[in-house]
Amino acid sequence: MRQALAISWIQFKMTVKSKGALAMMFFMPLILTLIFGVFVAGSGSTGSSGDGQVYPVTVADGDGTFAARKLVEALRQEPTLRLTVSDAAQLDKAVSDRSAYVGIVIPAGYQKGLNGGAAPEVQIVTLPGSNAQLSAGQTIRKATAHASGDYLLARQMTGDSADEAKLAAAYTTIVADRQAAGATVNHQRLKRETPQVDTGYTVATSALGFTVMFVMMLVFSMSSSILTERENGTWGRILTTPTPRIQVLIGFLLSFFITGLFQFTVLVAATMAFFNVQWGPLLPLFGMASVFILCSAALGLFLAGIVKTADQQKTIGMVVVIATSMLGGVYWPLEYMSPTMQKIGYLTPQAWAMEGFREVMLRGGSWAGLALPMVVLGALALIFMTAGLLRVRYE
Amino acid sequence: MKKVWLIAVGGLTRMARDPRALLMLLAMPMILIGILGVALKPMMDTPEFKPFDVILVNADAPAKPVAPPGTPAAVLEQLPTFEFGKLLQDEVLLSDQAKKIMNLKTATDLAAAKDQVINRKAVAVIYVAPTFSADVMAGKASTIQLFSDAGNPSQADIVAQVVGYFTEAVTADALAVMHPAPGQSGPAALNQNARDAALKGLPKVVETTAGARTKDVGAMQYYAAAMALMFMLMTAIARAATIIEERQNGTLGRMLMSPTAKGIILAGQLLGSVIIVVVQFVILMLGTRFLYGVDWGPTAEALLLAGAYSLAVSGIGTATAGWLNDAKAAGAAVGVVGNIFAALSGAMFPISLFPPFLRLIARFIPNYWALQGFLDQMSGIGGLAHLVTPVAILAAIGVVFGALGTWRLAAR
Amino acid sequence: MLRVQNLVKKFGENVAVRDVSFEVEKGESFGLLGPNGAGKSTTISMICGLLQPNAGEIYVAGVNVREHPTAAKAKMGVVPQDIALYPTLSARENLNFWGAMYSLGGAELARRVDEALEIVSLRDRQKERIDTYSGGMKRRINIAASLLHRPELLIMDEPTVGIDPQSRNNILETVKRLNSEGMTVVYTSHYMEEVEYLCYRLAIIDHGKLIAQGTLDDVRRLIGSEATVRLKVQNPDDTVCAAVAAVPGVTQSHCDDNAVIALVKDAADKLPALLAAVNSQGRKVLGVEVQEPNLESVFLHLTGRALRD
Repeated sequence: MRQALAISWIQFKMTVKSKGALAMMFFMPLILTLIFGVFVAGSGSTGSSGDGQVYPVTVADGDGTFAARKLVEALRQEPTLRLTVSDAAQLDKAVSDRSAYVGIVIPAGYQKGLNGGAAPEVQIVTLPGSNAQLSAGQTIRKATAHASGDYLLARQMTGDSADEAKLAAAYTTIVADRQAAGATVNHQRLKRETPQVDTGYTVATSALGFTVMFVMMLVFSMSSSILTERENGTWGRILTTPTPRIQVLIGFLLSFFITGLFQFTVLVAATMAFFNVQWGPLLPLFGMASVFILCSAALGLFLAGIVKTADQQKTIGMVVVIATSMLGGVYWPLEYMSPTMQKIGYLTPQAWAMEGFREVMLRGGSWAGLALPMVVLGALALIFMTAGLLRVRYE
Repeated sequence: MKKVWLIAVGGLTRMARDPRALLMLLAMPMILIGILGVALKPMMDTPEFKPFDVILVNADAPAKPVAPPGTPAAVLEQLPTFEFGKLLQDEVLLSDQAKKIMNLKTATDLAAAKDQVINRKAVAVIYVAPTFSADVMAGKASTIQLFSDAGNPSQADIVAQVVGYFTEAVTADALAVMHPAPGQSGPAALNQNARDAALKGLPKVVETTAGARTKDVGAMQYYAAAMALMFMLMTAIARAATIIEERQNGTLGRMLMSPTAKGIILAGQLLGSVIIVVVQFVILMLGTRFLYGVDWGPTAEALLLAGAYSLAVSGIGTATAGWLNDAKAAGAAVGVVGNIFAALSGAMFPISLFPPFLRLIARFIPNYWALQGFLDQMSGIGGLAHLVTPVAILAAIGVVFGALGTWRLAAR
Repeated sequence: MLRVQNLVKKFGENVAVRDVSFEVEKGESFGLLGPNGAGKSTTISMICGLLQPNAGEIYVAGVNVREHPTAAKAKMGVVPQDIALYPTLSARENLNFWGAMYSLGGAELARRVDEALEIVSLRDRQKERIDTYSGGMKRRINIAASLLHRPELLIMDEPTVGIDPQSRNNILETVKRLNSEGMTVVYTSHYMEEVEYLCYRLAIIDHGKLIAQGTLDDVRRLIGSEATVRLKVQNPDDTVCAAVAAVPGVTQSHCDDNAVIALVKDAADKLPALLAAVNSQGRKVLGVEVQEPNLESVFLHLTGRALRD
């Protein structure tokens, strides 16, 4: 076993000495987690309300009446909107140069329209392809419905009074009652194990996704070392030493595994320390990670048996990892995809890895929940390892 | 000028013979654009879900509005009975719209239903408490409980939204009951017609696009542009690795020894890179147009923008070659710079959601100008006038970095 | 120490090694000589277990390589033609690794590494990365990596390719010293002088076949007392060559770029006749060089080709 350990140790050492490998191991996933999980989602996003996204919104009030002012106020009170008030021209510019996610235009005659039953049009101004209809749009619709509904109710309550003070008092009462007596949904997320602190979902899934992808990428690129060694003669030299072939292979596989696990551990620790990501209980987490890394190593070995040069392995490996990561739900949850794409997604190891890691991070990580992903990944590892071992050339 | 051209062509020939370079140049972006487009289509366009299981535990008891004290018994008799839990089930959760999203199951045992969620047999349990209708009628705060699978937040949030629509409507009803018009009270306040008349003026919320944008930009278009730009940048930086190799194995030195001015040689290298990147773009544009039907907007404008971007990234590639010492580091820079620039330019996430300092950083990145330029062209805001800013900035980036890189390379 | 019997290796249609047999005694220094592509490296690869022969057997210190590869490999130290080291690691790190590959460890390994570094005189630079070394230093570490387990048999496959003369001398002296200390050495090269300097016995291989085998003197004797005479002539051609060949005592002749080369018995006596032969073709001899019988001439004699073609 000494030889196998020596091989894995020297491979590991060379990897951590290489700047390129280090960039791929740590710099990339941490930077991307920082960008997507923290900057973009808004830091300190905790709690269970989906992602902690805050949308910069510009509003232009073309009416200026009581009802319009109340609408602006209602929008301002939405925690997921960050409101800037400006005029219509500025608003268009802000949306065009991407400083506002959406613009909201309250048309002139808004209040008059409400009063006359003529249903005025509030505009949401977006850029094509920016999908404002998703959560920001819903929030805006809801706030508009509240503000206008409450205004109409206040008007009815005061008997269509023109006295703004009266109207304001009634409006305030209604808003207070909405707070006090409204029907609400109390959303609680169930975990299998004892409840624990919720992480911001976006930062957690970003960290998880990038970790999974870059661990796999590193393991794949490392597995090209078999080919590099063949190219520069060290592979042949190892075979001239009295080291049994099985030890040579175990040594290389072990080096992929150790390096992958090392990277995973550092990334977990770093995201915990810097981004407060909760990875869940450690034993199931590392159990899951081990199976996943083993599976990646086996796939890498298999790939190394197919391609001819280390360069090919690195390039094809990168294409394969990025492509399968997209299919496997690393970039966005599989549930967002059509049923057919989901089925395709579950052909990738990443889908099972994400499944397992989410079980650990979000559901508390019970072995019962981990059984299926671990068995699938283990089986994939076994299949590809056998296929890879059969394909490795010794001559 | 002929020499510049010869040097450029030499570089092109070497690249065309390198299968790895070709793979990165063409195959990889096409695959990624395809996957991104296909996978994201349902998410970006119309959400298409495989209906998932949701359990309703409805313990709600019918309730009558609370009448003011002293209301005659006969009137009390006439008060209608409300059953909000049943309303939620029949009108909301079993509506045609909701059926596309979820399969509703009903149950009576809340604990058992929660177990089902924990065991991932269902995404969520909706629990309506026995006093829900009564609380609403009495003007008290009322709550519908939602217990969801912590491991499946995205679908759980959809359920929460649907139930949220319902509680909104219930709240509106309750508020109307609590705040009747003068002279009306009790059952009269529940007069549906009167209330409908009052609420007829509720505003419509419509969506429009900023500027004179007339066309929508689909997911496929968005990613085609974003990915094409990312790979063009990667190609340009990968060229830096080649230049470094040439410097190391002496070919560059040999060229510099020939009676050709340094500037011409380096301009040749830069031109070679620009041509490669433009060719890559043209192939990607044609490929995505014919394979995935991507509309890139007017061709001339797209090419102009691509040309300016190619100059910018080639300049950055040259600068990379000037500052980095070994080809391996440049190889690593391909992935790192490529991905991070793409992320910062809004290729993966809308840039308007970035905090201000990241938006500021984005403005120093060529991908940003090119991507926003392409999106504008795609959304029909065409015309050369709109291209002046991005093209000028991209060209400036190209010239500045190209000159810096050339200066460094020549100095070595 | 090493017995190679009727070795055959085919790559598809191409027969790289045909029926090669030779033996190396303990303590001997044996040269395997041949031009590039003659089958030297293929033979060596089979001896050290990298390639499986299509036929034939190999015994290292009595151990059959095919049947007991691990045991046989433990007795051999192999210096590959490539610099098979990890360039980003230091010399010492490399040696530690290769020592571990021969099951060495702990203090023993450290001692052997020191010893090997001492042998190749690179102890003071052991902490530097291999990729900062000169070609000659890399070659020396390449050798040191094969000495760690004190092999009974040291197999060197062209260990001096592409380095400066000084480093080459250093390496040759090292090998000579190791051999004189009792290590059996098999040395392949296409440099005659190296084999002449190092080896007592040798085999010459060409096109996969052994064409001569024996002690240095045996092999030299194959061409008797023939010396190689180099007559420098401007633009030598076939007519000059034929004229030289016609001189009695000339057994073979051929031309290269600027000379006619002839194998001649009793060269000193024949020189005037050779010069006359050139002159008779209206050419002038610009210089004459007489080389006493050596391997170069043996090879020429046996194959009609120069070794470095």
